Amino acid sequence: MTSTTLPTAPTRSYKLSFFGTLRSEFLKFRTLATNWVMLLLTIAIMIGMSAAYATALNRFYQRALETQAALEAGGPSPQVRPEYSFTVDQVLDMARSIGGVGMMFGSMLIASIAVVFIGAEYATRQIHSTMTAVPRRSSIYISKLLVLSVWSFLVGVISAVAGYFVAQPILDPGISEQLSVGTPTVLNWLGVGLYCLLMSWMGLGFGAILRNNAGGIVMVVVLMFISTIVFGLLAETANWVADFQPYLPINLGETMTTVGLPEDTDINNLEAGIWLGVWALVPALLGWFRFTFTDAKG
Amino acid sequence: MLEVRNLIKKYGDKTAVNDITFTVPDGRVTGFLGPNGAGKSTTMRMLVGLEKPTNGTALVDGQKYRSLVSPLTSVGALLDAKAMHPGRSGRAHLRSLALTHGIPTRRVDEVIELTGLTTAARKKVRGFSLGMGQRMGIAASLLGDPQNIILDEPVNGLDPEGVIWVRNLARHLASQGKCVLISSHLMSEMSQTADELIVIGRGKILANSSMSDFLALADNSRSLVRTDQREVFAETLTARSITFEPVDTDGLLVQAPSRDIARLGVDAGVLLHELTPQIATLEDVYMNMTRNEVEYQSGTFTTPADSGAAEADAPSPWAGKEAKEQ
Repeated sequence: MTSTTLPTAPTRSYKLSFFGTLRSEFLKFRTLATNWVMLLLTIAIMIGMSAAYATALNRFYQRALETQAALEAGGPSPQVRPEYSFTVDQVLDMARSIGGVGMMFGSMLIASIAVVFIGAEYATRQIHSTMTAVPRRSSIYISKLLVLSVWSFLVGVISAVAGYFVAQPILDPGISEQLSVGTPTVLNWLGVGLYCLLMSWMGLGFGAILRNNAGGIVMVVVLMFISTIVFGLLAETANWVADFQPYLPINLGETMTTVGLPEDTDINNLEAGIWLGVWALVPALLGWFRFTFTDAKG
Repeated sequence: MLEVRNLIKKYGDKTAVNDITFTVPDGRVTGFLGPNGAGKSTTMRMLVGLEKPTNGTALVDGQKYRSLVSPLTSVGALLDAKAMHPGRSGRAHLRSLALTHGIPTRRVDEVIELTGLTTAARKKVRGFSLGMGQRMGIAASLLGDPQNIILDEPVNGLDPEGVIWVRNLARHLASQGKCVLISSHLMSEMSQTADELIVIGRGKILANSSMSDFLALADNSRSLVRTDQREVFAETLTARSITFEPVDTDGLLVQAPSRDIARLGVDAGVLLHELTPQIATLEDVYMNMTRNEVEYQSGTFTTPADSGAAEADAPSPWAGKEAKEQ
């Protein structure tokens, strides 16, 4: 601070633009080391889950073969708990979607990053700098949403693809030789990406509503996991609880990414995706209201 | 030019800013003074659209902040030195602000150099001292080479060199025809920097004038007198109904022009060995003005020595003031 002469910026006029705001938010996202650590963690967890699930599928496959052989021989089927008893076709469908088995945990991390992407702005008071540079707050929020959408979709798809291929050498050759990358598998990958994207919306929404990292993450955990557990416990008590259960985010996510749903299913892949969109859109919209129309205290 | 008209901000029942109106002109440094909680920062935050006024308007060059085409080139604001994510480098923080307006990275490096942050800018903000945070905030406010500059407590935590630098910067910006609004608690600093003054207390404007007009409000009519014959001189003053009060053991603070006092000393045959006109500082005027407006009043310190001296002095005839009050 010894110089008192001010090199003035060239007279060319600079203008605030949406594209500039988007680039700014992208820069803010990629210049935080935490986001890179979380990215690696997410991919590692999803790949690890796929690999672990491959060994489980091998056991299911062996049982399915034994059951098939026993039935063909006309004898009684071996004693297996029904939830672990699958046909060979079912096991093959599960193998087609093996890239997405870690989705629930991966998307949890992604949603947390989304919460922090906006919650930390308030916690660190960075929000004052952000909003002084860009007083049109909607553009900040939409920029954040776009950055998160692209990022979480890519992380979801990349993890699913990587998980799928890492699982191949672990799978029983009897399974893997019958698999080929076709429409169902690709749809599963895209579904995982979409699920991650929608959960990032949920995270951003709660981060903006609560303006608090911990509070936002707790809300996401409650909606994604706790609600599923509670509804599971109470399912026997009332019909509406059981009826509503398939519409919880995690169950919808399962449904959306399942390969080979039965024809007569209540909710098909597309419908599940639409309902999930509602789950994501409502917090994202409420967050936008709170972000845009209330004072930036905090 | 910054303009505030009938601005009101309420938080629930509490009124932080109560119907204030003022203009901050181009080409001048305007000091914004007031006790803690007087509403300075709230007013500044409303100027840059961070908070919505309950009523009234805050305008930048005649426009609301939110409708400015290019906020960063219209207003550069340092409101909060630590309004940065600690996990990002200083340079990345400035680049993120610059990108929104398409300001090139070259300009970012320029303001970094200008504020003396070249060695620190690539480190994470986490490790920055308060002074470095202030320099970062000033760097950010200069990014767009703005017409209006708002600095809230810019010298807070700066080293003496930094304080002088900020003063010169403010003077330089004003000389270029820019509008500079600075708030500070450091009165001596402010008296050297500002041309104009706005004093706020409990959400109300107490004064809005040039520095020289403001200082003229001061009570400059008193003089400090020291003499070995204090009691004799005190009687002389009492006889002429001139008010005074004792100071230390040999001094009197006399409410009269120093020339008249000197004449009185000659007439009474009393040797005055000190005669000093009392010039009020910005601090004195400010303290007088805001005495009843501070929200967080500090306790006063009474030293036992003072009260003891007063009691011992009480019977003496030169305690003219007390005598008159009886």
